[in-house]
Amino acid sequence: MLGALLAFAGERRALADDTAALEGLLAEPIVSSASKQSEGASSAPALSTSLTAEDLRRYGVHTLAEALDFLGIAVATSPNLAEGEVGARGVLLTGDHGSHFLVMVDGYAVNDPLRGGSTMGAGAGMPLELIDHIEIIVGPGSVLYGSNAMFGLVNVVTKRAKDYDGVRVIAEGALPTSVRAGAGAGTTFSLFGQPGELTTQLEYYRQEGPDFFFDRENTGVDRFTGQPGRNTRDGGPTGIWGGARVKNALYAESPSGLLRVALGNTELHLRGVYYEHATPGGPGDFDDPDSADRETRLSAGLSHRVAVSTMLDVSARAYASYYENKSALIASRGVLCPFGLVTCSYVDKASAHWVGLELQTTWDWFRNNRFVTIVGGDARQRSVQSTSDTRDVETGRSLYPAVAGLDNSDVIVAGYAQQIWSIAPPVKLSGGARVDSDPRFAPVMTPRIAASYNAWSGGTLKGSYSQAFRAPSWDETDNATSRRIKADDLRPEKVQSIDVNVEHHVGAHRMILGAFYSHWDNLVELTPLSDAEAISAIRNGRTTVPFTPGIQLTQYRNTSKVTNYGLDTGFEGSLRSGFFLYGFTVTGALAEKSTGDGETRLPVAPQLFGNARCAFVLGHDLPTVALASQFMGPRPADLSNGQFQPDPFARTQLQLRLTLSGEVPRVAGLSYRASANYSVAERGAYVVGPVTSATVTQPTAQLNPIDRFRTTLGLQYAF
Amino acid sequence: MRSSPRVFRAFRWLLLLGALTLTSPSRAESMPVPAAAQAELIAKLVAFDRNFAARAAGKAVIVIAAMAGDAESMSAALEMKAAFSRLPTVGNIPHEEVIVTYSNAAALAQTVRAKRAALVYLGPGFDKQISAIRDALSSLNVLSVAAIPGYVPAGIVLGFDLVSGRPKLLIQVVQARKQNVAFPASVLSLMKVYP
Repeated sequence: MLGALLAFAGERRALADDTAALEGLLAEPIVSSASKQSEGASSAPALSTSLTAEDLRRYGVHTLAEALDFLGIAVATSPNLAEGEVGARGVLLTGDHGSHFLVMVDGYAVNDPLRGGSTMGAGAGMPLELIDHIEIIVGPGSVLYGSNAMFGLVNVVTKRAKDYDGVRVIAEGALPTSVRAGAGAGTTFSLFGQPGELTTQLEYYRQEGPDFFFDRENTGVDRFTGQPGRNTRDGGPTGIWGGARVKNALYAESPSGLLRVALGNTELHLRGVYYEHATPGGPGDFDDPDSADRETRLSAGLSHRVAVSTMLDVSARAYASYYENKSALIASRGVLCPFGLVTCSYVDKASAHWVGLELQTTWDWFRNNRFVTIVGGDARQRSVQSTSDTRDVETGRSLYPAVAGLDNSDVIVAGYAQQIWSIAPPVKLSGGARVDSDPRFAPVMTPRIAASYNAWSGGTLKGSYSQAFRAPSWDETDNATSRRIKADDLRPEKVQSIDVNVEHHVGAHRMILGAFYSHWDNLVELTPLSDAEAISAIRNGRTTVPFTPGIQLTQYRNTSKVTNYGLDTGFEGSLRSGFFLYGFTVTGALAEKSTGDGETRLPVAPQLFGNARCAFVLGHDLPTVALASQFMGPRPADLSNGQFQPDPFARTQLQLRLTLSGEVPRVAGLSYRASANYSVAERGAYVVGPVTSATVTQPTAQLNPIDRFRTTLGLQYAF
Repeated sequence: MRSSPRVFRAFRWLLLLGALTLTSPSRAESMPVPAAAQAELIAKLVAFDRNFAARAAGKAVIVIAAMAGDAESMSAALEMKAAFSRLPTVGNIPHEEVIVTYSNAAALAQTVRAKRAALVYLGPGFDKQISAIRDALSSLNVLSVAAIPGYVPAGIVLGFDLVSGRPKLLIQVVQARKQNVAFPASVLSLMKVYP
């Protein structure tokens, strides 16, 4: 940090007589997601950053989650043996399926139509080599995008054909655990007198292992059978879960593909991902490979833009998305499978789709880009179906009557307007609001006002007030499964936030310092029912599950509020015309959750986190040597509300990653990337295994294991 | 749960409007780098052109060409004019911008000569005229700049692209020599150079 500050000061002195000022302008990220207009990140109405394709490659990034962790500011993910979870500015909401971040690819939302969820791990289907840059806008962003943009939004922008020309094949693996193989192509063409281009990448990802060791847990006497619980299909009533390495239940598989075709101002965008992964740390049987999630995501988009006059620009986007989820839980313990010596297979199936159209008009009233109004509308027809079934694994017969679940469809409509006013060269104001109408709730309005002031040479002061919301999904408002009863009266979650940022750049060095305060209302959580509530639900026919002492039934409820405030800072730049690159970010934030029972610290969410990186670009045939790190302060685990004494706590996490990358000498078109990753912490922040609160036989919790050391080698051949 | 017929009607109207937009004719590609960022870059960059000060002769005249009948091209020209007008100097020299409607390459060259322009800027909409413009400007002492990256390899001296979310400068060195534009190696190292 000291070195960077000295470099910063030195660079300032040298400004007058070299190209540093020009380098500074060339280093300024251009973002388009913050206000649906192309603009410099420093004057965009939110904390905006852009991660480059070069950084993703040189720092050994393999997934979107890693990109946020190692390179992003104020955003962090938390690994949980599945897809991981993501939070921002000290807030992370466990079990949200990523539904508080709006994730887009080339401007198309990829949050699923069922739960509004998003994934950022290996199953996200993000073709790394095809990514041009990733825009991260931190803070409420519903003003232009509607539901889900509560933490902010991530827009993955793919390369144009000119930057992805030809054909390439890719192979990358962390042998013997995982392998990713793919092929991509890009070309330009002319059709009907219009310039056109095509880019595509298809890939396949497969993971087997690592074979983590899970501590043994004693589930005690089964209240249903009166004997020790069974924790495997063919095991006896030992009452023991774990105590061995996972051999079968830690795998993932994901084929995916993306195609973009542009002709003139018209673009077609197709994307498909299948993702299957096991859930080894769940409450079901130990090491059962059939406890797994299978997701299919398909999306299509067609957009067109017309400059009607020098004052008016009109764009239209038609889009469709399909999502299917099939999850299975294999359980033999009586509390989950109260049928004697039977193993249950709980299978939840759901599918959802939406078809929509967004129209946007941009009015440049004085034809000088100083007073611009954006007015748009978005209408979406959506439908969802789901079933929930419980079967005997051996015979296949239904153990409970199947629950019909969801069969709903509706139309949601939204309108938004935003005014941008560059009053004078250094001052820019913007204000806007969006109204979202959903038949399940009263219309939700989300405003934002923001101002930026270029107060001194290279320095910008920014402030904003913004709101965002998340409409609970159909799954949350209307669905019931064998172990979850339907919600009573859910309301949309809301957040409002005040942000102040100072940004300053000197030459190729950029510094950001920000402060924020946000307040979250009506947070929806999957809440365990008390015994009395469970009995009442069973008596009233809200579930077909017979009563068993200790039965675990749940329901989605608006349970809590969160107050969140803190500081974030970042510093990045380069020296000697890009020979040495560096960057670091630090976020310190407090997040207090309030429920009827009082205030507690938000679980899993770190109060202090960030990253630091540096790289030497040696040039010629020599490799680029890069070291990236990510750290996260100690944080309470997900079940830390008195379920165990003492509360389980995740220790400080530090990840270090050394990466060498470059072109293979004397082989034109062949490039390589090799990295080694080391994690200081052995455990994460999620309680795993069947015991979710202290019992006489199992008073302590175990946290999810972390893959501590992994080497990866990748090759790419372009021709 | 079913939505009200009014909502369905609104949805149908949006579908109709969208279909009209989607089936309307396509236009040229838009500028990848915002006008304000381009203007700032040009203002800084031309100070490094060894011949710019002499070419400008005390006042840098910037001719901004817009393609006739192309709203996007005219819109870009107006935006660029406004962006330049916010800058006190271009290459440390006072400046003046003139928008001209493009009719043909010879007329553009004549305008550049008549106005003693130091810089001619081309927005979108010129993809079919670039080779003619290149030939017409080849013998002139003027810096030609393009908003569209594809125009540079086709013969415009300087251009802008957006790569990895950052502005990128492009230069056609052969054409630069013909038009008496000379940047030092330290600046060329920041650019993508087309031979």
